[in-house]
Amino acid sequence: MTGSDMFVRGKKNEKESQRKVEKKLSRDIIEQKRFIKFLLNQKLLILIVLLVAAMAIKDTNFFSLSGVYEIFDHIAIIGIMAVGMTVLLISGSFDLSIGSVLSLTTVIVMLFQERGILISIIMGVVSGIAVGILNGLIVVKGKINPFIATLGSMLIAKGFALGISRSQTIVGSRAEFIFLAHGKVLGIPNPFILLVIFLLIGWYILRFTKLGRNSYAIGGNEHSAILAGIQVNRSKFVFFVFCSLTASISGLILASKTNTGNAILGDNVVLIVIGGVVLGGTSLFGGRGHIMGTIQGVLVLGLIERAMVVFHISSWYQYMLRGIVILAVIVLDTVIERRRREML
Amino acid sequence: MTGVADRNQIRKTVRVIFFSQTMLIILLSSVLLMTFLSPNFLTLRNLFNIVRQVAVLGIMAIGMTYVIIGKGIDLSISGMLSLCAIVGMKMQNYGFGAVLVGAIFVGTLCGLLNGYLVGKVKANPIIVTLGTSLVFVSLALIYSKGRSIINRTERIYSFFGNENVLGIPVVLLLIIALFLVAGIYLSRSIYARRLYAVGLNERAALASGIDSSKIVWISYVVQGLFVALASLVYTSRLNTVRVNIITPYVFDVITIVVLGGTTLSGGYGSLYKTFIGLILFGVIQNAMGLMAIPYEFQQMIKGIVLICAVVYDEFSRKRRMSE
Amino acid sequence: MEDQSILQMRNISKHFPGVQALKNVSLSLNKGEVLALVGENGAGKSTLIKILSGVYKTDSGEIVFEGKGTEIQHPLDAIGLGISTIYQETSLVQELSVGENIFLGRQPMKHGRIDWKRMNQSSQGILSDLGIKIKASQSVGDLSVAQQQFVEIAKALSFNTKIIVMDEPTASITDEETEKLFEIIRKIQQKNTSVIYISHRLKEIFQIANTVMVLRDGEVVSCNSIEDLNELDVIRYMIGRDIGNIFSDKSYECEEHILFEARKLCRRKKFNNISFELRKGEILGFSGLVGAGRTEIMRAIFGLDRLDSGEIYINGKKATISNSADAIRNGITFVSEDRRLESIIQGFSITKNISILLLKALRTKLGFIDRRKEKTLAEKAIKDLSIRASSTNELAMNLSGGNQQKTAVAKCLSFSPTIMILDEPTKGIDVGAKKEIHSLIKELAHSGVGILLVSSELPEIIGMCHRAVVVRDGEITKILEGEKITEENLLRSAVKTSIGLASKKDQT
Repeated sequence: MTGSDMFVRGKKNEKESQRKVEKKLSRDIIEQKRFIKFLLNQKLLILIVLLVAAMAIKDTNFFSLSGVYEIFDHIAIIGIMAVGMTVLLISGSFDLSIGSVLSLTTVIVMLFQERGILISIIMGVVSGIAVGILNGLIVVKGKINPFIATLGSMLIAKGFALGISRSQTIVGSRAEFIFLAHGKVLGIPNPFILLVIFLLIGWYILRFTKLGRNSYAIGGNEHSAILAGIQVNRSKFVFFVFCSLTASISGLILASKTNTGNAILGDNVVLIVIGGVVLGGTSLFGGRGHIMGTIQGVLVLGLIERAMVVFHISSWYQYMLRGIVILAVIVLDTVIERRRREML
Repeated sequence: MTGVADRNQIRKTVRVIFFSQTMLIILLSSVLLMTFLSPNFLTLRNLFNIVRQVAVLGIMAIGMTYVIIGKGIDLSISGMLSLCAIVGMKMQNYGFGAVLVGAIFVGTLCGLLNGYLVGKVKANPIIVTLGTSLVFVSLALIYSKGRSIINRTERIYSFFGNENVLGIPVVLLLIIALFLVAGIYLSRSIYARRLYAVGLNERAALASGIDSSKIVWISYVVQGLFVALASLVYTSRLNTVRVNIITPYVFDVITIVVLGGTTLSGGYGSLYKTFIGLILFGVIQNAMGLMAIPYEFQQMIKGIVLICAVVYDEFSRKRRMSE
Repeated sequence: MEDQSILQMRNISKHFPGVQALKNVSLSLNKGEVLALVGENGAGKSTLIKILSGVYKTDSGEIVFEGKGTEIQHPLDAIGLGISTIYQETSLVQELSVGENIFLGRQPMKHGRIDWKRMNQSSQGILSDLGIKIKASQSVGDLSVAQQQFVEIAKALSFNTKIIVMDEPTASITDEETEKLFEIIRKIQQKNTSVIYISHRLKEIFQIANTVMVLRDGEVVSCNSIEDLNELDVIRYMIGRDIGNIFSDKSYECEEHILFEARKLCRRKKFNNISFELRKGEILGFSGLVGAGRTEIMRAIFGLDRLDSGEIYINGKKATISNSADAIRNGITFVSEDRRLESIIQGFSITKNISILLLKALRTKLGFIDRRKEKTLAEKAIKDLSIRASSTNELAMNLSGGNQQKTAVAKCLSFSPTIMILDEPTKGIDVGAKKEIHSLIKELAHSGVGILLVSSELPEIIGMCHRAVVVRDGEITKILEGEKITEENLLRSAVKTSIGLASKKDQT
């Protein structure tokens, strides 16, 4: 063996051992990641349990039916929208207009109520779908950044709602309409049923349909999705419509709570929805997310809001907390994504 | 022979002027149009009214121009305005100086927060500033306990909003002064040059040793500063201020900036453009008022104007790229 | 007798602005054959496979697949024919499972919904067929780089692929994993599927390939069965060009004073144990194949990317460089490899581009930028560097590539740097401008500036540099000096061979 051969072999051994160390390190990191993911999931559940416990201690009435129903009313509205937003976020898009769609639906439902409850519901849903189609066209066909595009459609929808309602709160003419929000089937409130239905729909789409599974590809690696023959543009379009549709359904429930509608109801809703969705593990950057996480995130936010009421925290502090929670959630998501990109 | 060449040269010059001054031409044409449509339009009183109405928006648009050139956006200015106004008014008991310092202090803090989240953490500006908006508004509500606050009666507190000097509204002088100062700074300072670089191409700016995080951060602080100044005019125009969750100022300000020709994608724009956008916006709003269009439809029309401006901007940007 | 040929590419030529990437290249591939494609940077390998996979369109020539002439206009065409390409950047979706990635877009359905059981079973079958020990239900994000490549191969095979193209598959995997990869390739061959294997690791090529084709400057230099040559022959085919008289003289010496020293620079997964010195007035070349890590090293030195460990000394004093502003403050400037997007700002005028490092120096008393000084600076730069532009106000995006590069260099020059980092400064630039930039660099060095020159063009390294550092897979394999900087030595140190790195006399 010549000197240079030994030199080469020595170097090879050094590289081998270095690579072994790296392999172990990456394996550790992967295990840590999985464990952290697991923990994070539990974290939300733990939070939920803690919050519920805290509220139950403070207010013995908490577990009474009326208390639970109040929470679920609120959570149903946010939750249904969160389902649509989850699917859309996973595919890498974004929709700022859901708040305006919510308001617009309440206004339209009220305006059409004289002609019949069924007609008003249909018109409400149609208006939501219309905005969804608009969003889809602007983003997919117009190739405009979804943030700007849905900012625009948010303004259009809100302006339109303001216009046709003349900035007034509109009261519905048919009192029976409140059955939607206040009625019960087998003792379970309707909104809760609707929430469960939409959760199941969302879960099913994301788990069992090509459209749903492909959304992970579109959001995670759009180039590969195209090469795999996935109809990216068509899928994105459908997701926009679905997201607006869920906002519309939520609008129906909201309108039916008090049988009124106005154009500013949904103004800050989008933040709460995004907060819940991102908290539940869906990333703003696309490619990741689960319905199970979303419902947990929405539950946590909803319970926090309820807790603030139970603990008699004034509504102004509620706003502030809402803002801070959103900021924290977004910052966390951004930091995690940046770290993930550095690992690549 | 030279005649043909001269004519071509003239044609080329005209085309250049037309495209670079599109908005100015549109502004002049709309003024002309309005003069025909409404006899009250071209009066000095009406024109001064326009200026007074858009003064607050205009000052905020100065800061927004800086932010947008840096490829960012700030949706929290409504909340910031409320917060600065409330703090300013509470400081009135300590004199005008305290008001000035208080408002600017608050505005700068808000800007620091926004700038940190968007510049350093690099989170999405739209969502972040929507979030901080909530925080600012709620702080304003808490500090004012939801009640209306009334201006003190000393003249200084309504000076900026309602007074005239030599027959000219003070606001007009103030706006011109601010636009001039900020405009010169934007076109000639070292910071501004770096801001344009970051907005055009952050990677290349980094490769040229520019600390892009810091530059973007500062642009948001500038925004905070100007919102604070705007709040002074704001409180001096109204006798009482009550914090409201719903204020549409944000979109008006963005409309003004985009209307003037500054692109949302960053790296391009000037305060001259924003100034034209401001006047144009004022003319449109005034026109709608003179034509007695109901408030809600005014909002809708303003929304459509914004969207058209954004779409046109994206469109011409794409066309510019492909050339 | 059944025709064994699966692919024939005849007289393929491809031209890009400024460079002829491929000249009359012909290639023929049989069923079940492993063809290794070898060549240094810019030889045309990647262009050739991009034409095969539908990313580029060929200017002339024809492609005959399974005996029939075809046109491949789009990546989906190539996939449809049965040609799958595995690039170095993964094309898997990280959040989905292995099985889902294999069946991406064509998931098996039952009763209108995805049949998970069947999908997992089928993909597990494909995996075990190839001897890949991965569970189909695992998430791709949890797999190592090598495992992800195996999955991509499995995915390709699930399509009834006839040709798999692999671009540097062993770039970031261990020797064990490489062995595993070879087992899989042998299994693929048994199924009569062919493989085109691009690599600079001659040792591996001689383990796995049936045929070796060497490209040089866009032409086929040789195409032989693996038994007919050895590693040395391959290296000789890769080089052996006439250097010609592009470069005049390197007669001047650089000074002794050490301007810059790097000690054990390290960045996980990118480079390791990088140590070198730069003397005043020296042009230090960085040679190596694409992907070796040279650009990453330079970007870390300049503060654009992070450094995990290691130290930098400038003029003997330790320097902390955590971002690009620090680097500039220390007198280091950088011309990026990505000229269009990173070394200049397209939307700025020439003047604004050139002055960007000097803004503080161009200040008037009020702190504003002195436009007149700026303009004078730009005019001088345009004259000195012969930048062809209609005026100083012309936007950078309207300049030609060469002139844009000159603007980027002018920007650094105006700053009077201590050290200049140039990453592929003459890539894609016409000969005339190349010469001009080369003399500029030499003048700079002559005036005392230390230059770190990253280049993939061997003649450039040989003609310009006092010393040359050869980088391979993130490590320095050799630092050559003076006379020893030859094509053969540079290339030998850059590729992975089983023979020694010395420049001893070779026995044939």
